[in-house]
Order: sequence, then structure tokens, then C-alpha cells
Amino acid sequence: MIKALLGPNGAGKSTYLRRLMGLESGEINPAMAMVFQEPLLFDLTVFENVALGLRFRKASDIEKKVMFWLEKLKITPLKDRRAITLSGGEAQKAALARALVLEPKTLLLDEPFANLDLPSQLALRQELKGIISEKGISAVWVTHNKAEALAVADVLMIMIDWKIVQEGRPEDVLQRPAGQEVASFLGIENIFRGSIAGSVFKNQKINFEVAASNQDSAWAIVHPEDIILSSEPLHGTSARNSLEGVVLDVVPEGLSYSVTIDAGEVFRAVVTRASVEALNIAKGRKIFLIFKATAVEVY
Amino acid sequence: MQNNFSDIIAIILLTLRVSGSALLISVIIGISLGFFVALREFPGRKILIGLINTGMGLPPVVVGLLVMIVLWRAGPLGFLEWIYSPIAMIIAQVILATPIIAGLTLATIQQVPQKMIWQAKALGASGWNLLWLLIRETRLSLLAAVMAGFGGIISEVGAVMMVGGNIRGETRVMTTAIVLEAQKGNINFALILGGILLVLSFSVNFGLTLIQQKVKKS
Repeated sequence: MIKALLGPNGAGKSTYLRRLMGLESGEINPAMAMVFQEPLLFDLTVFENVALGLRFRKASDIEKKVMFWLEKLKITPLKDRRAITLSGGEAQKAALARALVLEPKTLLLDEPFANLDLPSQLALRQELKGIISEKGISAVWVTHNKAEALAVADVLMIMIDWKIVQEGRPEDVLQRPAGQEVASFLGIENIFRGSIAGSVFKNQKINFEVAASNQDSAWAIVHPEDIILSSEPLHGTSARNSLEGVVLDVVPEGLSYSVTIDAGEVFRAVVTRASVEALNIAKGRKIFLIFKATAVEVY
Repeated sequence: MQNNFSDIIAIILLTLRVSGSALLISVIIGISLGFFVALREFPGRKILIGLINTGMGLPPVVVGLLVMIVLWRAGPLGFLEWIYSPIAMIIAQVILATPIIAGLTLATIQQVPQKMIWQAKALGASGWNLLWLLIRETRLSLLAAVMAGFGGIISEVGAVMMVGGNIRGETRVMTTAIVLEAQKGNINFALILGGILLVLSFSVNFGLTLIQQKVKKS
């Protein structure tokens, strides 16, 4: 089972991991092993590096265990090489072997592949994921990379400002971020706090229709790709919202444009180049945001 | 030339004995102190680091003067009758070399990334394991620290002159002999002694260098 601990740089993720390991208190947890972002190999051969923890912990059958993990990670031919002669990927594999050979119940991973190029990252990520599930290890995997977290996580934990602000299945966290900070870190936009009464979501700045029952306190998310821009308001269909706003900014993003609009709350919408030209969208232009009540995610 | 061959041999042997003993003691104290200060937090740590760093540039004559006052017959440790003996010279040289070795050790160990130490501890390293690992990791720099300490004492003349007294056959070492011969006008003899001192210093450092470069390859 892999718990991914995701959060921005400086959120306290590494410190959290060091606390789990016991490095902050000095009481090292013998059921855990840790791998850092850097391989942190010592000036010894690969074999001796991998054997180091076993020697420190006075284990038996050291040779057999080390050879098993060198084999498993396909680095047996490197066993007599000095650590400083290894490539980045080889060194990180040796570091993984050095942790796994201790047969930890819990493996702590502090951005283990962040220093590697993307293809090695992806390959090692899959390999390690396989080993973790095969050996029935639980892992806490720290990363600031959302894609990596989603690729490995059985449980996703979000840490912001030294606090774990949300923990749950990745799809639940993505669908229902616990607040604006989590949402903006996950790249979820147009999220608002308010209340729902009579199918209308409302706060001091804005109100629009939603397909949900009354709630004193609610979050509403309008995904940018669900918003259509129009120069005219829509009439007649109550299932669609049309909010009047003013364009704050238009930024080209490859094939499409990102438009921010102040409609009481600030929205972001994604539109095609054709729409930008057809609607003459520019800073200061008055425009209508149109989205279905059923497209609003409410929780 | 009234100095005979056996005089020179005696001077060389005494130089090696005094500076060798002083180096050994300084290495033990200096490296331990450097590790301790680098790895532990305690009150007054910054002041101690400041003292060590100041100690790296102690004027030998001042050290000689202070050791002389302490060991002088009427001084606090006068009853030991160590003044004008090789022991007094070793003490002065230890005071000169220890801060150099401690200071360079301290700088070396402080340069080891904190994560390296965390990694070692996470693997289950005890205090002794960690010490062994750190010595291994930094052995090139530690040997350089030893060489610097040796350089500080083999070439030193002020302190050994003051506490040893440059007594022929008892406390005369290479540097004090050179000063004496030069003052007497025996420039040629002083030059020969100077040459021998250089060879001596080179040999010891070359030996240490061989060890250093051998560990680099291993």
C-alpha cells in the first residue's frame, strides 16, 4: 500500500518523513527504511553500500540478502564498483537496494527519483511500485509532483504549511478538494465557498444555479472546460447559468487561450483561438459566462 | 667545524621524537575535538569554535612564553621540573598543532551533508559506526589536516627555543640549531642543517601523501 504525500516545496513533507523515521527524536524506527532524493552512497563498493544497514543492524546472511536485492534490481554486475563511478539511475537503484535489503515494514521515500531524467523516473517508479506490492510493504512516498503522486498512490495525502490537510483515495481528493488551497495546488480552478438554497449556490459575491439540495456550507467547482463564453446572455433555459463579467486577462496557451473573467468571483475559462477572434475577447471586454447547472460540482 | 656527525644525528632524532610525539598527541586530541564540536550541540559551542579558529594562528613565541611561565620553577607546575626538557617542548608543540588539526577537522566534518548523516542513522548506525563512516568519507581531508599540523610544528622555532632552552644534547632540535649556528656565523653548517630539515619535512609529508593517495585509489 502506497501513501503518497503530496505538497508544495517547503510544506514540511521531508521533515514529516524524518519524524516517522525517528531522525528528529534520535529514536530510529527499526521497522522502517528510508531513501532520499540523492543516492547518498558512501565511498565503498556497491555491495558494501547495500550491506551497510545489515552490518549496522548486525543481521545474519548478509551476503545472500544483498545478492538477492542486487539481482532483483538488476545491478549485480555493479557489485564491485565504487559507488562514485555509478550513473544517477544506477546509484539510486543501489540506494533502493540498501533500504529494501533491511526488509522494512514501511519504506519511506523522499522524492526518490526527482533527480533522474523522465524516462528513468518512469521506469524506476513502475519497478518500485511492483516491488512494494509484491513484498507487501507499506510505503510513504513524498513528492511535489502531482502526476507522480497520482501514478503511485493508493492513498493521497495533501500537506500544506506543515499540516496534512486532506487524506483519501486519489479520485476523491481530486474530485472534492478540501478547500481552495488544496484545489489550487492540485490545479483545480474556479472553486468557491458558499451555501445552497433552492438549487441556487450563493455567496456575497455571486450566485448561480446548481443541481443540488440545500446545504448551509458548500464548495462549488466549475471546471474551465465546461464554461462557454458568449457576447449575449442566454434566455429561456433555466438549466444554464449565464453570468455577466469583465475580461481581466487573455493568455495564449499553445492551441487555446486562457481567459480570466471577473464575474463577482474570478473565473478562468479555456477557449479556442477562433472564439477569441469571433468574440473579440480582450482585456476590459464585457462578456457572458455560460455553464450548465449540472456541470457544477458541489460538495 | 666542531659539530661532529653524532651531534647531528642526536639533533635529528630529538627533532623526530619531539615533533612526532607532539603530532601524535595533537592528532588524537585535535581530531576528537573537531568531530565533537562538529556533531554536537552544547552551550558555548560558537565560542569554542572561535577559540579553535584563533588557535590555528597562535604566535609560537607567545605560546612558548606562556608555557615557560607555567613550567618555570616558581610557576604553578614548576615542581614537575619539566622546563628545559623535551616534555616542555612537546607541550608547546601540542598547543600549537592541536587547534590547527581540530579546526581543519571541524571544517571537514561540517562540510559533510546533513542528509549523509541522516542516511547513516536511518540505516541503524551507532555513534561508533557513524564515526567510522565519517572518517572513511573524509580521510583525504583529515590527512591534509594532519599534514598541516605537522608543518606547523616541524618548522617552529620560537616556542621550542623558549621552553627547551636549546641545550646541546638535551633540547637542541633542528630549528634551534639552525638559529644558533647562523648566529655564530657558521652559515654553511646552518645551511646543511636547513637542507636536512627540508628533506625530513618532505619525507614525512611525502609518506603521508602516499597514504592519502593510496586511500584515494582504494
